[in-house]
Amino acid sequence: MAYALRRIGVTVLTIAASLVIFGLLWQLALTLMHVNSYVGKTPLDVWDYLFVDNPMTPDQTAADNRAHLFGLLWVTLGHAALGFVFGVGASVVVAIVFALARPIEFMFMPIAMLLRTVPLLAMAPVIYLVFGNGAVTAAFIGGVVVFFPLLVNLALGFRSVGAQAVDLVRVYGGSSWTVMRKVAIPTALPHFFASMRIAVPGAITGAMLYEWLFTFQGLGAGIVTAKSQSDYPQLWTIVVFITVVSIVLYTIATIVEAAVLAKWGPDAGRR
Amino acid sequence: MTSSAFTRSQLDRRGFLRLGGAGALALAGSSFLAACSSSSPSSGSSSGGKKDYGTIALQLSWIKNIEFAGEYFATEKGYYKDAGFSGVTLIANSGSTTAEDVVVSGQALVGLSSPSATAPAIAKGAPLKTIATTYQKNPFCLLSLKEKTPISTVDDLKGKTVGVQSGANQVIWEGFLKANGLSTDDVKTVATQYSITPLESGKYDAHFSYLTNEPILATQDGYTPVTLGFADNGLPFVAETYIVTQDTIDNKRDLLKAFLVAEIKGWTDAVKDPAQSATYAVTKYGKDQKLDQTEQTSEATAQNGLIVTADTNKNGLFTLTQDLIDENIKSLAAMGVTTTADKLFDTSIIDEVYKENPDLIVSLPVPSA
Repeated sequence: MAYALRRIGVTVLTIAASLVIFGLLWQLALTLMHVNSYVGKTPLDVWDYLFVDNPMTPDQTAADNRAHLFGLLWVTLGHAALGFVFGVGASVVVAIVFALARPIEFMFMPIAMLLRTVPLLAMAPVIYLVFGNGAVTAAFIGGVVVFFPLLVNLALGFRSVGAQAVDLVRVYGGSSWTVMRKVAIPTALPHFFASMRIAVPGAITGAMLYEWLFTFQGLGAGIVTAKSQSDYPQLWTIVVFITVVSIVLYTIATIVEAAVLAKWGPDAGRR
Repeated sequence: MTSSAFTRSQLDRRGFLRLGGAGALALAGSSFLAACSSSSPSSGSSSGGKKDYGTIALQLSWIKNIEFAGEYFATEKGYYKDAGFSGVTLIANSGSTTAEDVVVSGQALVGLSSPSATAPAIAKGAPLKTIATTYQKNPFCLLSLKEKTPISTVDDLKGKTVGVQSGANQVIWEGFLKANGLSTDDVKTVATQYSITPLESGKYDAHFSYLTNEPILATQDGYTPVTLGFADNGLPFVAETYIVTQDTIDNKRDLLKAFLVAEIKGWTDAVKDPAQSATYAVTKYGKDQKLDQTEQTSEATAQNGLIVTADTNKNGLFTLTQDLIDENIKSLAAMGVTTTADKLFDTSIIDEVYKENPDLIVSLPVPSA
């Protein structure tokens, strides 16, 4: 228990330290590059936007700003979750199919990688015509961003099963599916979680891309609107929101990873 | 090895990676900022004798098509050179930056914009002024198709779906709704890009457009365009306005006057010769856009209707009458932006230009539109 507490403490401290360094570098970059203060806002400006009422704009209080941005954040997290679930689900299924039937992997993996290189921005009108602009498109855009890194890592994970372990299962009469369950999946778990750490921020990027291209909702559209209204404090605050949320979700992913691998990973039970 | 020691060393490495990640983010950010702050325009001395203003940059409001024909003429015919510039760099815009940012941060000395973007920027503290305008009325409109759902009046709009580009156009669209007493409950708005393909395939009923651009593209695709102009329906504000910082007005007044003289000469030529405007856009300045000569000529001809009015024939191109300025302030109020004429406009420079060069006032045929 004490160990768990200490670990959480270390994690929180690490995040705090990285945020402080991030803030310092941010301030330093603005100062050294002589960025115009109208466009380039400092960490202090973001703080003011969120917590200090501006007497110049009495109808826009800090509390309004917070409510506005948190409203947008939940929408974006919803879209990110949609893309994440869709992307992770699809890549797990496809990777298992690839592992069970190797020729399919040889046939489709290059095509999958080719699809990855198609710029979503250029495809936006086509995607709109095919899928519309609702939840399906949110899942699709987020999924595309998440799907490919996960697929490559999982395929590699399933392929790196130990020959002796497979032989053992075979000797006892196990099927391919048994090999998959008893050997391949535990072997692939570290690969799965490594790509999960890419997938979490990727899903947020995908959600914002979807919101920017197809909707007027969430932080993705909010950042464009803020820009066109020259509301730079809001724009920078949105960037901070996205950065902090990504770091927090990334950390949660690493904690889940450590816990799961300790119990079910390839080295589980090894002392 | 104990399990706890194993996990801890893992964690430490991850902690390091986390820090590294934050550092990389900051680095990426700073290189982006570096790109923003590089290249400031050089300014020449304005002492007596032959003026030398060096090279300045002009931030355009869109890609290099006939919307900037006057600038092409001024370059080709040497009007910028005659006015004392080594050159004027024309910076194209794909819709992702605003001229306000570019001018405030000093990457361009002059920008082409619209009060719908400039007024909010000024409200947020941007030290900018509008000194002249190319278009006497804005070209924003809703494009619908006669073959699908024609929308020619505000009443037709109720219950329809409209495709609008996020960003600056979205702000103007919301202003149009407000100015006409409509809300998003009356008209459904969906996000779209600049392509009119979704309109033509019936995904929505109307597309937020430029009068001089998308309707002509729709004609080319074999449709009959129906337009609902914002300028004639509650939002009469100017567009393609020249914006500069207050600092430039205070310290480089002569340069601005020389620049406007060259611009007036260029645009006078451009208005007279739509075909040559199109040729410059198609064969030289917008060559990489693969523009169409016939379509660009039609656009240039349509554009004249926005530039030339009875007022400009009397006072000169780019001028703003007091009535027009008042209309702009009213339109902005309808869009929810409270501002005053002296905060947004400074017409003293263009007025001086015409006082010093009265021969620049040329009467041009007012297109019937």
